[in-house]
Amino acid sequence: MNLDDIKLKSPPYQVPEGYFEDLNAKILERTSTVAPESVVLWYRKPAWQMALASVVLLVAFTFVWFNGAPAAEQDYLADVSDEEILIYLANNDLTESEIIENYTFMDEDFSIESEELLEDIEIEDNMLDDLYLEYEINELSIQI
Amino acid sequence: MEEQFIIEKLKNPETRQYGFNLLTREYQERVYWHIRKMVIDHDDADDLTQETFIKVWKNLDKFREESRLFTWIYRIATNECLNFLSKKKRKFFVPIHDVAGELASKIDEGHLVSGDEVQLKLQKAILTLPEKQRAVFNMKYFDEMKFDEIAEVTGTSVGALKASYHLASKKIEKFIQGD
Repeated sequence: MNLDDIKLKSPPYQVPEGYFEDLNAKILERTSTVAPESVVLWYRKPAWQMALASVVLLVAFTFVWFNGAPAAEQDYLADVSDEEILIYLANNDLTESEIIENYTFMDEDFSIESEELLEDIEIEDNMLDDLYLEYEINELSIQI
Repeated sequence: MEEQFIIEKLKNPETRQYGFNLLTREYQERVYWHIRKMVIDHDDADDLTQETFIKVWKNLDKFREESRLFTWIYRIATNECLNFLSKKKRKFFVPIHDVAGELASKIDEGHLVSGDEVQLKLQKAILTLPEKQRAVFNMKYFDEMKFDEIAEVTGTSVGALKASYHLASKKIEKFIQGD
């Protein structure tokens, strides 16, 4: 059987006699009782809808204003002078690595996400070799 | 009839009803057959065709002339079919192949269905396609619509449609030769 056969282009379905004449009348009768839905521009909406929308916006704004965003870690040190920080560091004998370990460059959530991202990245061995060559990194240490 | 003539009548509130009358006369048969090929049963096709044109009437203001009028109407009709078939599956907890089986049995029942063996076999083969692919196949094969017109109906790229139609044709030929 070839789909190009012209006979196949006519589906084997029929309709009752006079169906399409009646169909037109039926459709027009049903639509005569239904009004087309018009697109209402915002400034033509009823006053009560406008008032409600305004109240919702006001409440949302108030909520955000008073709750605000949580302060970033860096903000805790905003009021501390540089001199005080230097005195603290000198008196507490912290090593460079201890300072680096405790300093977060990004939000905790983001660092978790980045770890998950890295898990999904498959790095081929030859790519690693290329990276080593490019950055002269050996397996034991990373020079900063 | 020129599509633009109908659109101009529809735009004017005073001639809108007249324009809609012209629209239904122009497109009702094409829409009916498009739906009938999807749902097989005449009574279902009749209901869905009427629902399609009621939706067209209610949403005339939403027609933006970014697409052709008939592809817009076809889109509404196609969505009506897909929603109908989807509800059929959910309502009776019928898996996909059983809905296809139910539709195939309507072909066998012969109510307002008559054709030779090959024609009936083709219709049953088409029923094995997923509904969206079936709609694409019907529009291309029976309605001989251009792919860019079908793209306006389905919102799918022309490339994807060509691939879909090609695969559908292969599936159908294989189904028919398999008997």
